[in-house]
Amino acid sequence: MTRKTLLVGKTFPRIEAEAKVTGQSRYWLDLPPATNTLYVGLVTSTRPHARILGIDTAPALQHEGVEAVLTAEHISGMLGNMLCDRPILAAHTVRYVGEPVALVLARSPAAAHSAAALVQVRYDDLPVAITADESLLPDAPILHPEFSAYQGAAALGGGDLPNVAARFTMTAGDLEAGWAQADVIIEQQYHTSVRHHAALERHGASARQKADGTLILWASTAAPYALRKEISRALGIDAQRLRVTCARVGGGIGAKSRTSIEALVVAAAMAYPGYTVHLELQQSGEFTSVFVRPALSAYLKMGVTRQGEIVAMQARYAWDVGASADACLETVWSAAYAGTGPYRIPHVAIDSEAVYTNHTPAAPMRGNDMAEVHWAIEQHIDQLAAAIDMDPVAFRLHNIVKGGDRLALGQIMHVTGLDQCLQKVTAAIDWQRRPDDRPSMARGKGLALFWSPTTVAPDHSAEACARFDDDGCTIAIDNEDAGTGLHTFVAQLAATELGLPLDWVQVSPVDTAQGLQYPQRKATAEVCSVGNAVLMAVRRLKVHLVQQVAAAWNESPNHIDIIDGIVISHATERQQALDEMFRAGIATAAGPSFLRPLEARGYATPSPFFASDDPEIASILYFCAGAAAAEVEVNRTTGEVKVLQLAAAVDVGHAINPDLVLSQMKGGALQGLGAALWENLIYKDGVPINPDLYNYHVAMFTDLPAQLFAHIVEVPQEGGPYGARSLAADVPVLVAPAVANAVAQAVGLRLTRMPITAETVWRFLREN
Amino acid sequence: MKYPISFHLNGKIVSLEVSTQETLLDALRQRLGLTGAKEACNEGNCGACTVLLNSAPVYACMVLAVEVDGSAVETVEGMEGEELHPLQKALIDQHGLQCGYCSPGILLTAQALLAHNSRPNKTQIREALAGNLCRCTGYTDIIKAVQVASRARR
Amino acid sequence: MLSYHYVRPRLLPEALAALQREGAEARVLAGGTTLVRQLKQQRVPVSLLVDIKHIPDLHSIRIDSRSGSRIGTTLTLEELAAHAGVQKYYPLLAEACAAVPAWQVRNRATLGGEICVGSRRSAILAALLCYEAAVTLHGAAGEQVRPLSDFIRDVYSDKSLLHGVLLSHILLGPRLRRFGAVFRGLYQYPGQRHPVVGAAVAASYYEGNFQHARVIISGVNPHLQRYTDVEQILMEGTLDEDRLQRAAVELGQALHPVDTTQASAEYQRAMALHLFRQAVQGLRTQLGNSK
Ligand code: FES
Ligand code: FES
Repeated sequence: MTRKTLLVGKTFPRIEAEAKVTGQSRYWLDLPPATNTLYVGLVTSTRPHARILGIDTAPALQHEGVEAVLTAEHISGMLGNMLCDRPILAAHTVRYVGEPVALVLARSPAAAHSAAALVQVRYDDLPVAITADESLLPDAPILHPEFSAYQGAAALGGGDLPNVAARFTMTAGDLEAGWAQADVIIEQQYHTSVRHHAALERHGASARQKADGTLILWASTAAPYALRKEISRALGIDAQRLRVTCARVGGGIGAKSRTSIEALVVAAAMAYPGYTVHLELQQSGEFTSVFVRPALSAYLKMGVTRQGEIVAMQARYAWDVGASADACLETVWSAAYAGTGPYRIPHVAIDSEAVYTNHTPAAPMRGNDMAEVHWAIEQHIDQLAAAIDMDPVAFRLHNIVKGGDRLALGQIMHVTGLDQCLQKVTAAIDWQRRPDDRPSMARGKGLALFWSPTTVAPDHSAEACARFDDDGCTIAIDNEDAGTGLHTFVAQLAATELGLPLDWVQVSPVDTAQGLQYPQRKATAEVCSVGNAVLMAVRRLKVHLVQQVAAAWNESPNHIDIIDGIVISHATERQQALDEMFRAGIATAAGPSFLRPLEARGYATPSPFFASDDPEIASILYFCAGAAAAEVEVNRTTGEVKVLQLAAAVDVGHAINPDLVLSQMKGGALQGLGAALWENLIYKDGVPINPDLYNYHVAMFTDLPAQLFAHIVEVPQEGGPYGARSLAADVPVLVAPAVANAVAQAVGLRLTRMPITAETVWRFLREN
Repeated sequence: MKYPISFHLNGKIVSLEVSTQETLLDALRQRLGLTGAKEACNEGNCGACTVLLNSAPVYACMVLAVEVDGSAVETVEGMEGEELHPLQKALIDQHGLQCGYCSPGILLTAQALLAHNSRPNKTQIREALAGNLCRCTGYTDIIKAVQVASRARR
Repeated sequence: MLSYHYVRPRLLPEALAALQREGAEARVLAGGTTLVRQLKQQRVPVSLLVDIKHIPDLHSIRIDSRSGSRIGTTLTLEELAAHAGVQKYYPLLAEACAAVPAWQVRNRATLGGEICVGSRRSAILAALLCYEAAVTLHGAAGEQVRPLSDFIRDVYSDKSLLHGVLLSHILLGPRLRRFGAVFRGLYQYPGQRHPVVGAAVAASYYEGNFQHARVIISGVNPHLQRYTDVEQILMEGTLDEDRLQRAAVELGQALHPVDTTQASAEYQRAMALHLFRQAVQGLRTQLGNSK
């Protein structure tokens, strides 16, 4: 008898790869133009913080081809998932440069563009706070004076200080007792920069209201269901009236799972029924009007005994979330509940807060929330190890959380491959060998561990739908694959379960018309919840299929199986190819018996590992873990830092598609390197001065370190589909602190501010 | 202002009227329906729009359509013949793409590289492709794909 | 909304006539790497584009090490980087052109465009200054040849000098014996278009002494220029550490950096002096005089 081929744990090309490399894939901007289109010229704030005194739309309305100019008078509503704190259009106040203030609707893109320049907004400038530290000063301007009236505000523990939108705290043990046990206590402040997602594809959206009043939105989004929910609520319409559909996504990096400008076109389409309203952001808009990644100001105090035991930790994480906190709430939450890093610490007090500032609202980046926190923790760990004269590897191994340990959260930790990851990366860069310095060049090695909670929203059930017809099997899930490999992952699970060759399975473009009821909001939980939902759907599908065949063949369903696309009876050895069954009917003695198209739905409600007292925000499913190591060379005269080798290892549970996982890791590693050395959206007096790809440096081909290693560690995740835990989108977290630790080893100084530029190193070397 | 232009596009002559504001990228995508060349930054900073102009890689977003009158332009749509081009195949097999937005541009630059240098080493590949950004993959697998493709060509 | 005409002359006089006719809103279009961006941003008033890429004379190159060379301004950076004559006699120019990271840019950007943009950070212009380039201009006042350094300085103080003017050729002097030129730059990352700060030093070497010294610092002062007082010091006698130190001090006094987002004034100054020393050192090695 033929053996069943397992399609999990094996490398396949991405299922949509061929369409992408031939240019056949359609991304949002590639969709054919609609007739009767009104193009949006977006008028955005030029001020970081100001009252709007008046908007003069008359000159723009005079412009040829202009149909209307819409302002907050015509479009109102607050966007948000848990906290509705982002106006669709600025009404009385602007809070960041790039904030949408008005929409010009015109017959051509050129007219929209020129008329937008004619809209005159009169401002009365207000004081500006651009960092969390600034916003927390007693005399800081208050960004949202009406905060307490926002929907969702009450549940978040914020509002206790002006500009604090949310506050989460975690405590364990007795901090004072902890300090008393410690032989060495180190305190330090760390800062990360505001970064930008910089996916190549810009944001864009178009919408139309049909004669029957229904609305359709086409958007460059990976999360149509989440958009539908947020937009319909903000505009006060029934969710069923709005259909959201997406094309291929040209990279999300976190910024395409949340709602921003899409609500504008839906509102405008409602005002102009029958027209397609089309909005394309230009490059500067992409940097200023959608999302950035939040910056963190972290204060850490940790105590350690001479024997190398970390006994106490106090942390204050002040997140600079920009003008809206909603998209960052999970980040801020995770920082509190996972804010110890992967270490066993008995006495803990962590406070994590979302702080409003006058820049573009922040959102998660590349699937992960913990990068900034580890920038602080992992540097601190190195400092502690040095203070008690212990090797950083031994110190970490001694203190890491292992399976069975009780966490500060109170829960018992599950098993991860954290220690294996550490071994992999230290071996990869030959950790034991101290690098040789040259007179003008100092070399150093550094490492970092990470853990990151996979969080799920309270409405965290996932749903999938599987169909079978003569095109093969089609799976519908709620998230587009913005590059993570999610769709290939899902197809591999389905093909394995159904006994089909991989190319019989496709994942359909995501569209709310498919009617899934339980959309996910977050990309990182998908592996577990979406994967399990898909497994259930295809298992049900298979049962239906087998039953039909069994009935036609007059056999027991127990004897029938599908292997490599062939339906086989183990009892009678009778067999027929499945595609033929669909084409020509099930062969029976009495002639063909036609197979009905089949459909089945699957659901998954994973049970959380940890749920906090803030049930509205999230709960933790499990922790992902990994390690990174870097070797750097620092030019003592100029301060230039060059990364010679970089290694990352992540425990993904089970790599359903090993090469795709490695590809994620390598991509993440380079992004992490960018965070460490270059990426920084700089604001001068509240105005971003490098909002384009020429001035904001995204790692290029020539930035790749000479040696880049990626390693998979597999300690199966209980409850994960085939033991899978993650697609390894987490790597950027690791790399930046590993590089910082390597620089510290090379030149004996600690750079606590991201990014580590040549000038900062130079200045430090000169002053010390 | 409108001007008639004609040029070779993937080996065939095309003629159309273009305005002076239109870029080559606009003409390809909006007038000729070839959306393989991607529009990303639209300011000459990323390479997603790369096409070959008289065999040389250029940013199509920074070339005016009127300028290409009388030239030869190649886009990703012209790469495959009966089968996928070895570079396309290698990019798939080596996992040199994630979201794929950068892929068409990278393929054309790499094609031009292999036309100049049939056996490029890693450094040469990096340098030739320095004008193409990829935010997703971290480049390693793209470099590998170009090497594999260079070996696959006779 | 902007609307402009386009002409594609085949001869220089045609191009000049078109520019003259149209007046201030005519723009010369060569590689377009800067102009097309400006057109998109609608920042410049334009009524006519004069595409000079099809004028054969402007795309001609004659390299002659004895009587001097003449390079058409529409040669692309890629063509210059790959030209055997340029590589042989003006290696620093070839190197600087090749160092522009994006192949797509090198294939379009022209020598003339680099000069018109006149970036103070341009390593290509620094190389041209090392070779004492002159530029042939055609404007209302007819044809004129001006030293590149003067042209850069004048255009810096008055951008309108570029209006209605066409740069046709770059002239490079005859090659000096035992002449070398070296550029050292500080980049924030390897593929940066222009170094943040750079130093170019060129000279010929006779009997232990530098002659024909040229010193250029990029990225610090408002426009690219030669530092003739520093050059004098380098040529005064045997180049020992003492003299080099005096040259560096002199250079330091001539630099007036201001803080930018890329580098503080202090860092610019320190790096300029460091790179200057490195360039001098590199030049000595190149000329086989490590003493
Ligand atoms: S779209 Fe042309 S270079 Fe970015
Ligand atoms: S694969 Fe997304 S930009 Fe390259």
